[in-house]
Amino acid sequence: MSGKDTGDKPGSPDQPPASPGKPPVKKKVKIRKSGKWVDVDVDGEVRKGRFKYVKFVDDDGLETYWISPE
Amino acid sequence: MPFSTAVKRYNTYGTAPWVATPPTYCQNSTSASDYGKCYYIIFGKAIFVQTDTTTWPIDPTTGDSFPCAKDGTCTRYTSTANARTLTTIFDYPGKQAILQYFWSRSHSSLRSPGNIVYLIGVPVPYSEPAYLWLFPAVNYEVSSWPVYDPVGNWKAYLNPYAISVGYVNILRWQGNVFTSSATLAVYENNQNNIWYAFDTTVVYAYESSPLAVIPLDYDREWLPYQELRKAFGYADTGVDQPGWNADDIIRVLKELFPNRAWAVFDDRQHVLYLYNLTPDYVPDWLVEKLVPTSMKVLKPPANATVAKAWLDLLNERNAQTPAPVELP
Repeated sequence: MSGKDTGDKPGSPDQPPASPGKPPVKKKVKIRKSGKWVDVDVDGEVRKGRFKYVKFVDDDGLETYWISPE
Repeated sequence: MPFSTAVKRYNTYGTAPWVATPPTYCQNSTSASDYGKCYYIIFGKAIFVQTDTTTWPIDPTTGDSFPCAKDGTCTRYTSTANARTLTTIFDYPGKQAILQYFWSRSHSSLRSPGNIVYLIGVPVPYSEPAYLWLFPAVNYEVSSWPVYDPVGNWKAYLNPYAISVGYVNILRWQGNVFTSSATLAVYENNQNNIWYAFDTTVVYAYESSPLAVIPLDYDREWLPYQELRKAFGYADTGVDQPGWNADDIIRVLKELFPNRAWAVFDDRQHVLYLYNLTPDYVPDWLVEKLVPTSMKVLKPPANATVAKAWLDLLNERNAQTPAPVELP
């Protein structure tokens, strides 16, 4: 990951524009982990029932689906 | 201490809770031309106790010749039993659960209480009796339909009904019993030539814990690993299987079932670990039960068949009641 402690509250996900010739910049989302807000680079979004998840690779190397802070 | 609630519905014994007036019955009159047949089976199979294997033999090559066993509408038993154990509802070594609710509707050739479905719980801390028989007991009311249940229903009980052959009975129990295990059994009183079909719902609670989410066969897959059983408990739902910590459960499951799909819910981190699974295979009702939970993929499925088998069995053991039909 992915994440660093930003200490602030979640806001709207950033959506930097993709630059031609460069790999697409991943969308960043703030999630609450271990009592802190951290930024994660999101690989995608998945919906399960009434919940939306963001997908990313966590610090432990596992593919992770976190409830989206919408 | 938070508690989790488990609901187990049994709808595989001929009737189903979502059918208000199932007409299920079997014919046990030996003078009837359709003796041994079962009709209007809603789901699964009724049970028929028929010991005469001379007239209706069980041939290993051709199968059971008893009519309903032959056509697949009943499970035939060829020996009588006082109390017939059908399945283990849950077994939590080293942990306690609290039985809270038990509802049973049965159709049978016997008048109550002979056809009642029993829940056998092992009470804690009592040592005698060894088994707690919730039914029958002189202080419980046993009623035949129609019956009015003012607590469980907002109006007079469903639609009172009768069946073509046999009796309809309902039992409802609500209370609190501490127990570490519970078994679904039927009191048959050693009678022969009897049949019954039923559906029942059991509600219980257990201390919030990490869970092993894998549907297991209690007799074939559970007992052989008795030395490891304290890593997590058994529940017929395949979901409500508490252990002491998620790491131990993951370690044991990796050792025992490396080629199957399973999940482990860590109730402290609120993470559902998936093995041979992806979120695509996690049913919405499970997400709702464990919410809020994130998911981590320990290992993606080697092939879709393994993951699908886990999902199918989990859905089968946790049959969701179909949504009620909307009124005009």
